[in-house]
Amino acid sequence: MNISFKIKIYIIITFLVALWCAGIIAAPVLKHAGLHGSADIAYSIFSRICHQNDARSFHVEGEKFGVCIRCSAIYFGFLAGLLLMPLSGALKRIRVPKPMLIITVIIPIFVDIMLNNTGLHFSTTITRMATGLLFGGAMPWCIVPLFIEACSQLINKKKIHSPDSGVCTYVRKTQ
Amino acid sequence: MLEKPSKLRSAILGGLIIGAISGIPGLNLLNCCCCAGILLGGAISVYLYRREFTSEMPPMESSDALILGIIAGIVGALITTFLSAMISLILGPVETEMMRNFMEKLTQKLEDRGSIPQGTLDNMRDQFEQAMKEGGTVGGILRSLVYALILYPIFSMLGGLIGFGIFGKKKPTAPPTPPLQQ
Repeated sequence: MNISFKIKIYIIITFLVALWCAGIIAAPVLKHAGLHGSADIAYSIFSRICHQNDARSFHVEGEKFGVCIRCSAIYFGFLAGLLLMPLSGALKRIRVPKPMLIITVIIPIFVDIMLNNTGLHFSTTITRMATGLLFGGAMPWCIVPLFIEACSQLINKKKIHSPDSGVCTYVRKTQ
Repeated sequence: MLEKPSKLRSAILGGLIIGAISGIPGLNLLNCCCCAGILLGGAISVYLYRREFTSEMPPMESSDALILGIIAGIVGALITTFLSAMISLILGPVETEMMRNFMEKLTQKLEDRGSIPQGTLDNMRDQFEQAMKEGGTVGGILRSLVYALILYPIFSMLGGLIGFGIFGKKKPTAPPTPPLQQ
């Protein structure tokens, strides 16, 4: 796989995730600035994916973030993980993540939510942030290699029609 | 070597799961945890697709998971919007009041137990009012559809890739040993 192709995909993903994180902070900033129409749109979009509970959200100038603490930790953790990826050399050789890595980072967040809902242990801002950052921070190593591999497969596939069978098949373009 | 199985069935099933979780009041609370319902739908569609592979087929690739997730997300967005619109159109004032009472009692119980913070009941009441108001108008339904068509395929695609990472490529099964000739 061409290194420039990987970097291009990586830059696009990083830009989109940064935009998403900016939107989370933009919602309260816009509201504070008196731009209620734009703030309402931002809050409305994020309301589809988060409960936006005031007591469980960070605040800027007295206005809550677009998403709750746990979700903020996941998204900002994801962005931080993305920015750290090139330093670890993860972009040079794409490795498909081990299933155990994904399961290991899902377990703490799942346990925190379940313990809280059963009333055995009440999650705090610290536990929400820690489990969210762990999950979000590890996800780039799980998702980005697979996403780059998938994009590469989709681009390298060339649609051809077999003349004798009429069956439409896909073959990988050779270097 | 055989062709890969069609993605449509698995993607529609995944979309149905997304639609049911996101469109049914009460169940949609699952999405409050970072779109867990949508991620789950994408991952399940990959799991179902993986099960259709046999040893004669080429292995499942990450691009298959990516496409499956996107299709499941689109199907899920359509089903969710349809379900939400139908619920708000079909439910009369009596049924709406019954559902509101049920949701309020459930939320109050969770608030009392400390599972959810104080003030959630008020938030939920506002959201319920907003959903009923939006669900009844064409503009509200279209706005919901646009938001869902943007967000659901993205999260479902991520769910699909996570599912592919967990379930992985199907290992080819060993061919059955032929019976011994007597």
